[in-house]
Amino acid sequence: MTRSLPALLRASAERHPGRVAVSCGQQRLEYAQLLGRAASLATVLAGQGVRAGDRVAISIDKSVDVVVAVWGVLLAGAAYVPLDPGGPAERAGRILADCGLKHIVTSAARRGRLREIVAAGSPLRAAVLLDCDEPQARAELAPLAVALRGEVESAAPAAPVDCGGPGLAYILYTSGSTGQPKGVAISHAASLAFVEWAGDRFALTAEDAVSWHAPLQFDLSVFDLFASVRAGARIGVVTTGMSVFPQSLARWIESERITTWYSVPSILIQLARHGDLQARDLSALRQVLFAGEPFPAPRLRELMALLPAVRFHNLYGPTETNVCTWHAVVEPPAPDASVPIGIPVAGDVVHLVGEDGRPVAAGQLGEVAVTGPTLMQGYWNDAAKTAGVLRAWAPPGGRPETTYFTGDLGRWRADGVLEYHGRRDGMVKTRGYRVELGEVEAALHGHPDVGEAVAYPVPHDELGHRILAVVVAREGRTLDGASVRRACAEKLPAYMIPDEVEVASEPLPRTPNGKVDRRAIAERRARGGA
Amino acid sequence: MREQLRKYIIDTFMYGEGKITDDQQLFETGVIDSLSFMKLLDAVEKDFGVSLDMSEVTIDNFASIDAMVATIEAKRAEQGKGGGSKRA
Repeated sequence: MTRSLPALLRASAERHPGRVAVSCGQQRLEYAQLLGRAASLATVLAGQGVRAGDRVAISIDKSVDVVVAVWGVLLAGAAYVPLDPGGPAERAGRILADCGLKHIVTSAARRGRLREIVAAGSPLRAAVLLDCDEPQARAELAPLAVALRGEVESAAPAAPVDCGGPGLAYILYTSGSTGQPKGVAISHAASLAFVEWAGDRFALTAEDAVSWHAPLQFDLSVFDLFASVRAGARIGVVTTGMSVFPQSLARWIESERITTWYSVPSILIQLARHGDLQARDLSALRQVLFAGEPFPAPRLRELMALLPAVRFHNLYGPTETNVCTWHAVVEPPAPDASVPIGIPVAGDVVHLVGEDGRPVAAGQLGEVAVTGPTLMQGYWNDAAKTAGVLRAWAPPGGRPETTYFTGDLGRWRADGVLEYHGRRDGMVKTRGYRVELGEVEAALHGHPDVGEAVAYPVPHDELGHRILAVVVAREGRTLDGASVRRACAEKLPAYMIPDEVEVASEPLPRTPNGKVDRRAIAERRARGGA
Repeated sequence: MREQLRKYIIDTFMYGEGKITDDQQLFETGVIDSLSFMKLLDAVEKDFGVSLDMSEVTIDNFASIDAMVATIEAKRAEQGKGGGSKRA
């Protein structure tokens, strides 16, 4: 059998059957129980028609059940596709259609939303409601075939299925510049290349307790869910609600004896500012990993001063590469410095490529281009977009290799460490999430009275960026910002909705080639002008 | 107080549409994140005349409308006795 993620769970369940695999609030699931429940779910999924190579949606609020669902889908030989459980039904519908998803694993709390999705039309045929015992759910969700908790609990565990190597493990949908989310398809081999590197590099063992903070659709969850299980460590589930409250979070890190924390910088900045960390006993915490956006140096200094015994690591990599570089932050950075993204990991090779398609000279800015075992297979169902970023490229004198062009700009320091220098295009980061401004603008144009619309980022100390928008009404119509934001909420996840929508009475400024001039709009706002 | 809180949350975080029940968990869907929560906290302090210490700003005290009402009422009783404290 080829190497695959499920082998990690089977091995840990054999070595540490009685160790806690996942904890959430008062709930605890041991390794043997996790494998048992996941393997029973795999049997139910197979009974509903899931075969090796299929894809299954998961839409459940952060809980022990999400972990069961992820492993259940993988044990069935299928790839999982996270659907933001709190996101708009319309966006979920577009992902279901794009991915041709016939199966979903969800929860009682998300029944109403699933009904909405089914009513609007989707390829779905069957659903598993992991925590629901109410038989009327079947009638409510007709014509879907519905399996309830009892069926999962009484199902015999599934035998191992060969799904490894080049087979897909998961598809993570990220923001797409045209308004259609794009699915990053990752194989077992690519996921394992990262997971094995990370487990070794951060020396995870069965004694560790690893936070799971990021939503499942965000690639940070790959480390939390898979590197932990490989080590036989405990996954501590950070519920979506708890992460809003720094004090609650700090107490949780203390009481769960978390050893390894991984998140975007914005949540760590909140913890440093409002978490009252000095009052907590965080002696178990040995390392903090962050990724997703640059960590402002002054904020990182504050955090490092509060946690002097902890080691800090910056991980870099678009979802398309899992993680491709890493930097150990040994000393607090100078307040005006940027935190480097480091050196390539897991057998990946990084090149900096100029506009002419050739490597840039030493010390020059270039596009970060990555080859190696951690790369995605491509965007699901979108050969054109895949061909745009995943190209055969050869360094001078080298062989052509499949290379992912990130759109990020980087510069090598003299000591061989890579620095990040922003984006080439309209993608921004807010709260560590990728946002294509084009997707926000497509949603703004979804309002029937919007004539012109532009979304633009403004830098923010804690969030990376806030997203703001300016709209102009169609001739003869009037607009108010609240109704435009409401229209966005029907299409976009919460973090993509502009924080403020300004209604302008003048046409938007244009660049000489006719594009809306985002820079002029951002500068006008910075000057405080209307 | 209950209805005022409900209206504020619906207007501010749900774009004026939808319903929320008294015991509904408000933070598990990600609609209110840490930045927008600060707006809610300011509104609670201003509109209900209480001042909260950061150590009281926890998920248990704010999880639902029921929890918020209990927190505000307890704080008002305490401050009535002259035991108020200022948020850090």
